[in-house]
Amino acid sequence: MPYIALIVPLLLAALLVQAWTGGVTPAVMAFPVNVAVAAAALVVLWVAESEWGSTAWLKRLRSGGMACTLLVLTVLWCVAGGLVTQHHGAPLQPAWWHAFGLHAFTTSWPFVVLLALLQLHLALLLMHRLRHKGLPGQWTFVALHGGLLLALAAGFLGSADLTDHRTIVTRHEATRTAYDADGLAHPLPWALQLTDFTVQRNAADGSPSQFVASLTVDDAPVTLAVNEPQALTWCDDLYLTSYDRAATDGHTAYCIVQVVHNPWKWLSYAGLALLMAGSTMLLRRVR
Amino acid sequence: MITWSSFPLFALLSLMLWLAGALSALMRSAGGRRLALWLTAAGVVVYAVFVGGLWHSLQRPPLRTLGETRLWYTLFMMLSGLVVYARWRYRWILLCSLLVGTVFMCINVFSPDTHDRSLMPALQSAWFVPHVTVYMFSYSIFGCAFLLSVAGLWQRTGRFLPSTDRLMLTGYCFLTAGMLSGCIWAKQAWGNFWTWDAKETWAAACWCACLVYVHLRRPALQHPATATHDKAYVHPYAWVIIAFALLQMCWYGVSFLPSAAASMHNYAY
Repeated sequence: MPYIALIVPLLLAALLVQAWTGGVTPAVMAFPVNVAVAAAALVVLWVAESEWGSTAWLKRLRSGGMACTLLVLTVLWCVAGGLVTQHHGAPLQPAWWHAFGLHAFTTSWPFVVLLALLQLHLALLLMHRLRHKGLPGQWTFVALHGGLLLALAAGFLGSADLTDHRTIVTRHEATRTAYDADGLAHPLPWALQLTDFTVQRNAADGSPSQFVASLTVDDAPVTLAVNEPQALTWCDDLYLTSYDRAATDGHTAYCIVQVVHNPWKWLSYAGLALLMAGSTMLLRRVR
Repeated sequence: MITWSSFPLFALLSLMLWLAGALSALMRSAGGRRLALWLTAAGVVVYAVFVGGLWHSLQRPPLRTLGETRLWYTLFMMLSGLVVYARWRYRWILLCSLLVGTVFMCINVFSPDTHDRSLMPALQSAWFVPHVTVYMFSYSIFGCAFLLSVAGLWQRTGRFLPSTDRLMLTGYCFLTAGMLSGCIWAKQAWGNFWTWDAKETWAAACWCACLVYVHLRRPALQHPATATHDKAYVHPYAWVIIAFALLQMCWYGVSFLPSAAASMHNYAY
């Protein structure tokens, strides 16, 4: 119950803010704000853990009971969000659950607060464990909790820096423009042009088994296929998402390319790798 | 060549072997135990031959449709039940695993999917087989944990908790592996590690529910000797049942929701 007393006021406040202002706007946390906020939070947590780590309040904050409470609330919010059709932007037919942000639950204030609390809890827990027990003998614990923290932080903090645009790449002219989900145009730092498009087919029934697009990116050849993206830079990737389905003579006039810019993706990979390692180590310990 | 039309024959043969094994397990003798193990293992082999043969005839992994995942679930459910029986010797577990597996077998017999050889481009990935099979295996382990939890609540005892602990930990590890392989595949295919579509939302809920159980049972997991005959059994068993219900929603329940229409996982419905 003390955990509920800590969290419920925050969630109620979040619900009120949600009803009053609508969902979170990730853009406000774009770099360098997200890095500064994360660094400040870590410093505050470290100081708190160093100075008041033995107090009842901090013990509660990093306890298993707090973890259970946060996880239960996450389950509840995911179930609620999972039952409602998701739609970002103004709903066409408002319903009562829109006031709580359930129609776009991943950008709702309660969910954002929950995820933030979960990350703060994980960071505090790891700091305490590493300060008092060090790393030897704690690999499984650190991998599992650290991996989850990294993966969550990369998604949470990095969502403001992530851009996901689509562009129509044609044969006759290079394009330097991509469009976001709202249809707004954004300039691309490269010129993309389609040179060839192939549809590989299943021998059994002739249905498509693979789509392969040959492009030039600033005159350099690049090949894209489904499940085979191309990295243009350390944080920019191209994906093949669609093509000219109306083409009947085999001459595909255009394809649609997804351009994803995600400077936090390597942190996500690190978090996932740690989680996988932690799960493997945990499995080995099951008797 | 083994095709889907051979399924009723293989299913019947497996069912008979499994039923004989489950009934043998009810005997208290060592001979009954050995017979149960051999008969159940034989049933698993027969069923696995069908799955392998279907894979060969379709020229693709039979993991695309819900019906095909039900095939694997039945196989893994009986395999998990066999391992639980061999490890902890609960005489009723094979019969209960068989009951669960039979439900899914019957659905495949009386409401079969259309099976063709095509595998759409989105599923042409090295992550396809590990992602789905690891998930189905974890589901089968949770299925056994669910059976133990129901039995524990029915008998009002905590004596199944140590076994449930091990099953839930094992299931959690495989569930995590399935989820993480899905994340990496999603990044390759869709550009983002996690898009919170309907299936992923329910998968996250299920994963968090498993974590609730793991954290609830943390003292017992760290000191197993103190965990036997645990008196505080209701909450842990309840969370196993909740996790299992969320798993069912993630697996096929989500297809009945309006939100599934826009899901990136739509090819599975």
